[in-house]
Amino acid sequence: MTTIQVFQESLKTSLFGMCLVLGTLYILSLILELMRLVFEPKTNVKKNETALKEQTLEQIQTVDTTDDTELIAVITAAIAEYLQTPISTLKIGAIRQIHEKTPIWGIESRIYNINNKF
Amino acid sequence: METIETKIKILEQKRKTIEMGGGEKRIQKQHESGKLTARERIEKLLDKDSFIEIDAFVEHRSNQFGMQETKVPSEGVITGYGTIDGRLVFIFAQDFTTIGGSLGEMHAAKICKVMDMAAKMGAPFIGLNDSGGARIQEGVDALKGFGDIFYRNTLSSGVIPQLSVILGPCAGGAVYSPALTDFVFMVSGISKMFITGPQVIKAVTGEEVSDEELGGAAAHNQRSGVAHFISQNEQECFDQIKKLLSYIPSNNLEDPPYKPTTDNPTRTVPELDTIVPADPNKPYDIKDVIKHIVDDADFFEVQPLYAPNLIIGFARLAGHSVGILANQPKHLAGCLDINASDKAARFIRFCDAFNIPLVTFTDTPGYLPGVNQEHGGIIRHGAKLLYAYSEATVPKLTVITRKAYGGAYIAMCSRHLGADQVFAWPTAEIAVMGPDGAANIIFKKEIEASEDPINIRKQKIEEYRDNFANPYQAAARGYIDDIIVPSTTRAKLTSALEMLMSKSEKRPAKKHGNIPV
Repeated sequence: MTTIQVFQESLKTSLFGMCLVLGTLYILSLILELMRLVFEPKTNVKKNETALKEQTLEQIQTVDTTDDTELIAVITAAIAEYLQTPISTLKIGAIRQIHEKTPIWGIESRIYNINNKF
Repeated sequence: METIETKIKILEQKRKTIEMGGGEKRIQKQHESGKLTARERIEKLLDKDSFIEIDAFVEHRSNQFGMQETKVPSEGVITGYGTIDGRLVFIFAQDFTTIGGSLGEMHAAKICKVMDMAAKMGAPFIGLNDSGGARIQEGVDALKGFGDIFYRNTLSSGVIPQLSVILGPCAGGAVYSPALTDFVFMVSGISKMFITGPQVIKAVTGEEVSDEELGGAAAHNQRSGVAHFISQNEQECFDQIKKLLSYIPSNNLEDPPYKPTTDNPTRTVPELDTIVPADPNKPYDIKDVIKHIVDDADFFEVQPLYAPNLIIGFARLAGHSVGILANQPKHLAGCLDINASDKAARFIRFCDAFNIPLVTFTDTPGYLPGVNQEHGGIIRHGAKLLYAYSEATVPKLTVITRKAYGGAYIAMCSRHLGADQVFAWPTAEIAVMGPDGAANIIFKKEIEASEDPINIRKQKIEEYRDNFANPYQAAARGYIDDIIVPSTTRAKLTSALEMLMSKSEKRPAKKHGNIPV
C-alpha cells in the first residue's frame, strides 16, 4: 500500500466516523425532541402556575397600595362626617394604629405580679 | 289538687307581697324622708330592665323575741345583678322599710352570695346601704353576718372594684364594710355614718353633736376622708357611680374601658405656656393645668373636699383612662401633709390594682412643717406615699410644673421611685430645698460676716435660684427625661403613654408587703 492509499483510507475512516457521530447526535436530538413533546403539557402547567403566582403577587401588591389609599379616603370621609367639616379642610398627616388593649407583653407581667402576691 | 295555673298565681302573689317590702305606709314614710326605696334605687342605677333579682324568697330563721311571727320580705335586702352602661355589676340594696333594713344572719347570707358571684364573674360590686344596723334579736348570728361580709370585702379588694353607697343610716359595725371598699358615696342630708351615735357620745364623753355634724356627708367628705363623693340627691349620686365605672375595669385582669376621642392627642395647649406665674410664691390652680391637658377637659375628681392640697381623680389621655395626682398650689402651697399622703397612697394603690396608668403633676415645696404633723405621724403617713408609688407597676408619668423640693420631690413619683418618664417644664425648680432655706445654710457665714446681711442674703438667694433651682441640674443627671415646652405637655404625655402600653415590670414574689399603715 502506497502512502497515498494509506492517506485516502484514513480520510475515509475519519469521514465515516464523523458522519456516525453526527448521525448519532441527530438521533439523540430527535429523542430529546420527542421527550419534550411528551412532557410539554406539564411544563406548560408549571409555567402557567408560575405566571399565575407572579400575577397574583402583583395583584396583591396592587391591591395593598389601593387599600391604603382607600383606607385613607375612608378615614378622611369618616372624620369629615364626624366633625361635620368638608374633606377639603382636612389634611391627613399620618395614620397610626393605637393600642386599645394592653399588648400580651404587658399582660404577662400583670398576671405574674398577681400570682406572686397574697 | 292545685292546678299549675293556681300554683303560678300563688307564686305571683308571693312575689308581689315581697316586692311591696314594708308596705305602702312605710314606703310613703321613706319617700317623705327624702329617700327612694331599695327597688327604686336599683331601677334608677342600673340599665333599664337589666336587673335580675336573686334570693327574693329568702327568710330569716330566728325564733327569739317573737321573731318567728315577724315576716321580713326579701329579708330586708334586695340582691341580684344587672348592667350599667352594658357592663355587668352585682348589687345589693338594703330595704329600710322592712324592719329598718337591719342585718341578720340571712340578710348577710344574701349579700355574701352576690359578693361571691361578683368575685367569680369578675364584675364590680355595689352596695346600697340604708340600714339601722345589726338585727339585735338575732344576736351573735347578726355579728357573724357582718364578719362574713368584711371577710369577703377583704378577699375581693384589688380583685373587683367595690363601691359603697350610703343612702341612709349606716352605724356601728356596719360602717366597716364601706370602709373596706374602694369608694364611698354619700348624699347630703340622708347619709349618716358613725361607729357610735350622738347619744352614746354624749353619755360617754359629754360631747354634744348632731348626727349630721358627726357622720353626715360633709363630715366624711371634708374631715374624716372616709367618703370619696358627695352629692345633693340620689340621682346625682347614681350619675357619679356611672361616671366612676366608666373609668375603671371590671376586674384586676382587664384593661380600663377605652373611649375613642375626637380630641387630638398631639394638640398643643398655648395657655399652658403662661399658666405658671413668674413669681414662685404666687399660686395657680393645678386643675386648670389638668383640664387643659386631658381629653375634652373632662377631669373626674375624687375626694375633692378632703386634703385639697393634693388633687386626685380620673381622666382620659388619647382615650385611655388614667389616674391623676397633682399638688394644688392653691391650698397650703401644695405641701404634702398627713391627709394628702393617705389620700394619694390609697388612690395610687387602687389605680395600680386595676391597671390604670398614673400621671403625676408636681408642684410642692415639701412636707408641711408643724408639731401637729410630726406628732400626728407625718413620717409614717408620708412613707405610705413612697411605698405606694414604688410598689406600683402600672405606667407612671410625671410632670414637674414648678417646685419639687427635698423629700417631697422624691415622693411625688420621681424617677427614683420608678417613674417611667419624667418631664419638667422650664419653670421647674428641682433642688434639695428652696432657695431661701438653702442660701441661709450654705452662705450662713458669708451673710453673717457681711455689712449688709439683708442685701447679701437676697443676692445669695437669687444666685442659688439661678444656679440650682431649675430643671437643668436634674436633667444633666438623667433624673428627668426631658425639659418640655408646657404647651406640648399633652402630646408628650399621650406619646409616652402609648409607648408604655406594653410595659412589663415584675416584682419579687412575696406574700404581701408591709405598708406603714
